[in-house]
Amino acid sequence: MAGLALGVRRSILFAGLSLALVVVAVISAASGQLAVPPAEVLGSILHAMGLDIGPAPSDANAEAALWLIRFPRIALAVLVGAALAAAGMLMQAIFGNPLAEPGVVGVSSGAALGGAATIVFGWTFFGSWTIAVAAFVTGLAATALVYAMSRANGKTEVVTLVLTGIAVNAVTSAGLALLMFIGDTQAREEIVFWQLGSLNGAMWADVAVVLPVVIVGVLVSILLARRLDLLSLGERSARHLGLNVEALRIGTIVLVALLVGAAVAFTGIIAFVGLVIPHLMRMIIGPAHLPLLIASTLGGALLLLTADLVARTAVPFADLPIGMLTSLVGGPFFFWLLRRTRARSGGWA
Amino acid sequence: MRRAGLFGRRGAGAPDAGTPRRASGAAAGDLAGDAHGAPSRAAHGPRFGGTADITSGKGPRGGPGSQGAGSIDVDGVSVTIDGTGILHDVSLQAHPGMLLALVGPNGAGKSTLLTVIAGDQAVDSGTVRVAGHPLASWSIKQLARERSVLLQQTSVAFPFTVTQVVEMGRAPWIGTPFEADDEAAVAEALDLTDLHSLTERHVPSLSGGERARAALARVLAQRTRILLLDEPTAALDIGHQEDVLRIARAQADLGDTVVVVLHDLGLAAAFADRVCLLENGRVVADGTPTEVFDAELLSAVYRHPLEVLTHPVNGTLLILPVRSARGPSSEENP
Repeated sequence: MAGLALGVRRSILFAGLSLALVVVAVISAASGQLAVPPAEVLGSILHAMGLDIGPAPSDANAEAALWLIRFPRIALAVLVGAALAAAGMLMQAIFGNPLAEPGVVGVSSGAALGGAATIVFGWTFFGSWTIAVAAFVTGLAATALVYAMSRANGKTEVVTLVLTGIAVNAVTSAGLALLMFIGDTQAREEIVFWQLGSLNGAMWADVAVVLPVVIVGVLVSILLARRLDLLSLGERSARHLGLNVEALRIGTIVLVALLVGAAVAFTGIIAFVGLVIPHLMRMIIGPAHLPLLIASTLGGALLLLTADLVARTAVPFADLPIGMLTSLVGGPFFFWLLRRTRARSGGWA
Repeated sequence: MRRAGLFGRRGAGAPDAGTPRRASGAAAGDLAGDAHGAPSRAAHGPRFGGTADITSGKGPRGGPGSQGAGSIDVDGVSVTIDGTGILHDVSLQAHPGMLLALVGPNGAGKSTLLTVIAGDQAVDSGTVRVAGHPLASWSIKQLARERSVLLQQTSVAFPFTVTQVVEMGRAPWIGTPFEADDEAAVAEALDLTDLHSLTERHVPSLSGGERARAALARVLAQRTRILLLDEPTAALDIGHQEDVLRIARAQADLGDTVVVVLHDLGLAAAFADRVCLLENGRVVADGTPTEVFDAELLSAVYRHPLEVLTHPVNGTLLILPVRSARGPSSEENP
């Protein structure tokens, strides 16, 4: 515990993440096939806010590129990253296990199943919210299923959790395969891209759906944070301290499904954000859930925004699937974490 | 001054040396006063007098703050788990100021009985009353302000520090006037359990004994009238075993009700006011250590010849297995 006091470390981390988020957002808006100088990006935002400060974009198409394509994409990346990281942290808290993550245990693919079904069958019960609602419903079912199947005697052992994830992922993959088989060519193409995960084609309408869900989800999580701390003592001890464990568990599962459903509905499966970010943040500021939630939300937003910048600009004229990028980094990280957890607990417990 | 004796294992100045990280100057001063001088009962808020103010409003019928506070009344309780009868018609009472030891062989139902009193295990028949009110009438939160529980196995899922874990013991008091006691309660609990040098260590990285003490500190920080301890000495060396039982004894002397599951009959004899001996889910003896610890009865219950001796100096009972192979047999001893 050498170095700075915890409170100072937290403050530095929050400030650093927030600053980095703003900087990367501006860089991301400035980058692309049509380069817009960062000063003009800021100018454009300030002008839109009614402040006549800074240079307006000089290129005729820049204004449209920023407001119709890049800004909604950036907004969606920030929201989805925040949602996934927060969902990962919530899952780890109720499972009492740092390896629980929406992508790993099959919650994301469960949500994807509902979204894909919406595409194939052309459902429109809830207008622009249909896909998100469907993703939430199947995501909720998947979360509840994983939770019910991987708990034994009030604990979730790593091996049970991972194997449950394999089983759930197998079933949802079968469901997605069936939907691709049923669907027409266009639906198939959409599902494939969506399985890879991408922020390509993000629209303000998507942001309008995701934004309220993420705000509500994160705010409720903040209210639950201190109770999640107690859960780390185990269910019985938490109850002895006056915690209604059942209610917290159900509430948290719904929250996870809500956040993952909203994220998956518009970007597809982006795995490992919920694993890597809370873990890194826990290493820096410790496991207390309130600061961890704030740090994870900021960190997840930063990670996904950065990953999307790379996905868009790494290869000229190509938009790499972002889910591929996060899995490329997250897969080995997961493996390292698994080995470390195993070494620490002296087995697969 | 009784509690000052608890610090025997540390230097006399220990409570001051390990200044609590979070305590303000005033709180640290209170603590030191509490530790060195006569314990100030008023400082224990939740247990005494003032408690009724907050709990009676919310408590079941008249509130746990009323008469009967701190009492435990188990009446004719039977429990069956997965078709196996674990407890049969068990009755026992405990009241403030008492340290009740539950003893008996493995599988006798001691831990299950404690689980029943804690409100975690439903009973098939019989009633359990805490502070005069049936368990069913307590809300989870109210119960957490009346009794604390130390489980046999405690683990912490994430690398929380010792201080953070002990602070969790204050959770039931969030939003009550007793929230103001948080710092003092945490510092006192760390003090009693000799944990001041480990406050910033991560609990999962501690040794088994240190973890057990951290869990005990969390329970003490909860500051409830009733303490339920399930084998609190299991992972501890003999010195810390003594410390834990002395802490439990001191809490009882301060007016708490302490129920502790023990395997070590010598510890039970030395520290308990009352001993309840269980065998196969039934109470076979219930009384003072002198009444219960009868060599013939214990030998029958433990299915092993045991002898009960009286310590030549202080008069406490020593319960030992009869060993013939290497030492002299009991007949040869006067």
